[in-house]
Amino acid sequence: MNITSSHKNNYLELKLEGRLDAAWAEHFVSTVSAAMREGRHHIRVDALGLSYLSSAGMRSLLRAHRELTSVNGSFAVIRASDFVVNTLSMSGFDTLLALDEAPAEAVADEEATSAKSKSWSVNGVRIESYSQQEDGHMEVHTTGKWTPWQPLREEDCAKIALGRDCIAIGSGAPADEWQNAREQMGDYASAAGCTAWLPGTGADAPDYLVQEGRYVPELLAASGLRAVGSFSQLLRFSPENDGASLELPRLLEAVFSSTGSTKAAFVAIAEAGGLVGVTLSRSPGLISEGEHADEFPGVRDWMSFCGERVHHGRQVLLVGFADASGSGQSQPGLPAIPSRPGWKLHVHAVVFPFRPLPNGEIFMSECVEQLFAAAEPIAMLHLVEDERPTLGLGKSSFIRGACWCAPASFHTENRK
Amino acid sequence: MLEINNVVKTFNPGTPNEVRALRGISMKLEEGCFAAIIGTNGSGKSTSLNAVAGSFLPDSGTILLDGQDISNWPEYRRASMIGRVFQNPFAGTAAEMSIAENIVLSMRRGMSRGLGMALNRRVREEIRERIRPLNMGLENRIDNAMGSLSGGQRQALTLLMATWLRPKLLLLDEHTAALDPKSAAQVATLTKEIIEREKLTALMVTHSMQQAVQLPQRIIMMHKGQVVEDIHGVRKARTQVADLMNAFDRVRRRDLFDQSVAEQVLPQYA
Amino acid sequence: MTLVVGAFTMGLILSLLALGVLISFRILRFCDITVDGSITLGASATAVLLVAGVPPWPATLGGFAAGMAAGFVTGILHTHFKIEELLSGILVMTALYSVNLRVMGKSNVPMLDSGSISDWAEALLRKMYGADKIGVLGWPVPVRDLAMLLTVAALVAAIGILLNIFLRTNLGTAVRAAGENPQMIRAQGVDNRWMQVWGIAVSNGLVGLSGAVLAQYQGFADVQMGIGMMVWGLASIIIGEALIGKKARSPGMMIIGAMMGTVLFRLLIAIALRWGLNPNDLKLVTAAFVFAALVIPHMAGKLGRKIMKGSSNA
Ligand SMILES: Nc1ncnc2c1ncn2[C@@H]1O[C@H](COP(=O)(O)OP(=O)(O)OP(=O)(O)O)[C@@H](O)[C@H]1O
Ligand SMILES: [Mg+2]
Repeated sequence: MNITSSHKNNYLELKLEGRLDAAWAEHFVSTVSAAMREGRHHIRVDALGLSYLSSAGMRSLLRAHRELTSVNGSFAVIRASDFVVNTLSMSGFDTLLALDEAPAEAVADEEATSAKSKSWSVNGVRIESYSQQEDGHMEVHTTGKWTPWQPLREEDCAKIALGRDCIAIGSGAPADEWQNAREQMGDYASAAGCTAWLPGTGADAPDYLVQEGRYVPELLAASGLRAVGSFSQLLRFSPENDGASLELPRLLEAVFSSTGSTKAAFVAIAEAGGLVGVTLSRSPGLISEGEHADEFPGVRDWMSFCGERVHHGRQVLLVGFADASGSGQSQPGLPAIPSRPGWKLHVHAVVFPFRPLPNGEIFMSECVEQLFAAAEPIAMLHLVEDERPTLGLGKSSFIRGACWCAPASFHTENRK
Repeated sequence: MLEINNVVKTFNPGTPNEVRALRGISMKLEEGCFAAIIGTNGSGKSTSLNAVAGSFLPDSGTILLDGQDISNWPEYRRASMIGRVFQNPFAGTAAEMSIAENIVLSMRRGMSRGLGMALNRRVREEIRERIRPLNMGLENRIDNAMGSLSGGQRQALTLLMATWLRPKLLLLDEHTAALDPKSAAQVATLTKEIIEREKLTALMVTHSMQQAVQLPQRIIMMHKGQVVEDIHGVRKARTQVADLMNAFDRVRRRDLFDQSVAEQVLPQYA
Repeated sequence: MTLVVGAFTMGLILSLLALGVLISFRILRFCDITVDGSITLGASATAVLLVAGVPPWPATLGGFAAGMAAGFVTGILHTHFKIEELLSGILVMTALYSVNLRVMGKSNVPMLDSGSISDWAEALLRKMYGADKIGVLGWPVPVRDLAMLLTVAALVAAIGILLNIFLRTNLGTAVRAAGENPQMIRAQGVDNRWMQVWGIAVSNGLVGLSGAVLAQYQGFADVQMGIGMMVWGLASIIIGEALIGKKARSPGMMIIGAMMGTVLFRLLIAIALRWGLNPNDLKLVTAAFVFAALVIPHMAGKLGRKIMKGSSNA
């Protein structure tokens, strides 16, 4: 079978020639997936050249249809010959057939959104911003009083609720009893009532807790940041040319400029170009008095470094807080980054298998919930920059995605 | 049953070829425990086995087998308690001697060898009986030279020889690595059968993650002459091949985490 | 006929040497050149003992013991002092040159009127036939020579049988395995070093025994008599292997092969000498023969493969 794709005004046309049977179904599905990855969510199949359609072929058409509608896209078979029409309608798949070629809703979509959005380009990546809530704002509080690499005491930890109303990152463990929690303290990230947590027991994949009914996940946090409020802006970004991607500080620049603030809280879902980060590999609750956990080589027992740029092409949930105000004051839970003097940043990344996002304006809660519902998290990283000369892995970067953000104000509880 | 305490071995010390093959390994194997050792090339797996078998004496550390300190015993003396199968199918048998003669050697492993005739009717019958279950048809060929057998057959016989007299400890060093996939699977199955039937304490080096997950009760992972993972009990029960791959990955990442990384990363983790 | 009987006797005597070389080279796979010294040691020890009035059989046994002692030293040098096997052999062989001179006190001990192990058989034959010469296949052969031949044949047969039995005992199989695969035999709980030491000791004992009988046959012991003996033995076993086929590697066949090889080689030499081969060239011819035997099968194999390739390409 031969597939030729041509870009039409607002949809992608795939011209199929030959037999769509078991041997070619997988090829067809992967062509559709690749198009979806590039943000093509309206696809028409030109079936004029189709000489044979088997059950496996039909199933692949149905699969494409299902995947595209799940991201608010559309899929239809056009120019079907009589035999294709017959085959499809006999099997009850005639919903796949369309009479007219252009997807009406797509046009409406584009027009509706273009009115609300502004757009600009950075390094070959197109960024669009949507204003979602005029007065969106985040109030950020520190949670837990642990100073990294000191021995952890029970009274330093704070019990926090991670409901739909907040976003949070930090180090902690599900709060049942102190003895248990202290052995399992690890990195966590939470948004929209969904919390991913990597147990500090050397585990490879994060565990996760999702708010359901009256159950609201709770953690005993050793340290971290938690924010309540709403997002004011949505940024959508995608590459204009192949291979372009957005480095994290570039994305933050867009966040700062669109929120008009130098302090911001954000959640993003994006396809990773490559992540650079560390994780706690051993619970800081186990640091003993007088131990220097933050000195090389001992630190390798406590912290694991990714070693290379990882998770390319996977879907990543970012939860983070940034402060570019340049105030010399140190803010617990917001370390400085090497690449931008005066910037402070704390971002956790939860890695999922790739799953396309709908185009246009979308909302954080829905997208995050769907992400957790569709697949289990693969990995969790505390993102860092590696600016070592020549050897350095550089910064995490992202190919396309959505970033919800808001101006933030940071409040610090008193520390001892 | 086996207790290795902080064994250190450096080859060619003080020369440019110095290799710190064992940097203080310790492990304790309970009676009847079957453990696999996995690890990257050159991580010291074979060297550990050789240290236990006595191919060389360790620089420091002690090795206890069945409560006896065998650290200073020569290899042949330890053989009275230890059965071994090597990676090379040629290493465990004498090719020009017959199957029966090879086996009869192992029937007196660690015992005195006098001037009695090695093979008589009774012995030959016993040999036939015990190699019949291999289902390789070798029971009719016991006077053929060992060298006329395939690698898989030789390895199966070597395994049988190593366990003919019940050893206190069985050492297997990648004993299926040099075989074709089918023979490898056969020998692996035989290994498990024998170890389970005789309730042997065994230590097996393998590069096959599949084998490490399926055969033993415990997985020990080595890296750069040290034990870096020891998976046993319920944790072993849920260990999959992917988990072992992750474990290898963790070890690799740890290697990449050097002083300069620490300097970069630590200030960014607060 | 005298010539044939001489060649046979000589061949049988030297087949003891060949058995010694068989043990070291083929069974232990130990390149032992102590042989050149230990054969002389066996001869000189026996000669001195006989001259001193010791009865022939104990004196012969003395030659065997002396050879064993020499082999033992070589073995210990190699296994316990980690000296390369070739060098261990050279050291002992060199030392033995002086030892032999010491034992004999001079470079040649004649023993014209001392007894010999064939005395008993000679007396028996004389009693039976009452003549100085006995007709064998119509040829008169001196009783003395015939007695020697019969005695040596019996001795060699006995030794061959004993050796064959030994190699099939538990200890014997361990010795063989130690030669073939030391790693394996260690894993079976045998100290392969002692297997090697005792194996080389027995090997040189047989060589010494060969020297002891040779001295009695020739009527003298000479400090030079050992030169080139190892290559001699090697040539004999190579011929023997050609006779029995290389595949047959059971101990019995190897022993028979070595014996047949030695006798055949000796006969060939006798014939060559008769046809005018200069005795001085004997050692060169032997060396050339061993060289050819070692190299030709290899080259023939290569050539064979080449021809096969050529035909398959055509
Ligand atoms: N006899 C020896 N002399 C010198 N170096 C040695 C010796 N034996 C092993 N080594 C070195 O010690 C290190 C560990 O070797 P070892 O054979 O134990 O590795 P291994 O884990 O078994 O690897 P592989 O998977 O390749 O078998 C290697 O660097 C090897 O080169
Ligand atoms: Mg190895």
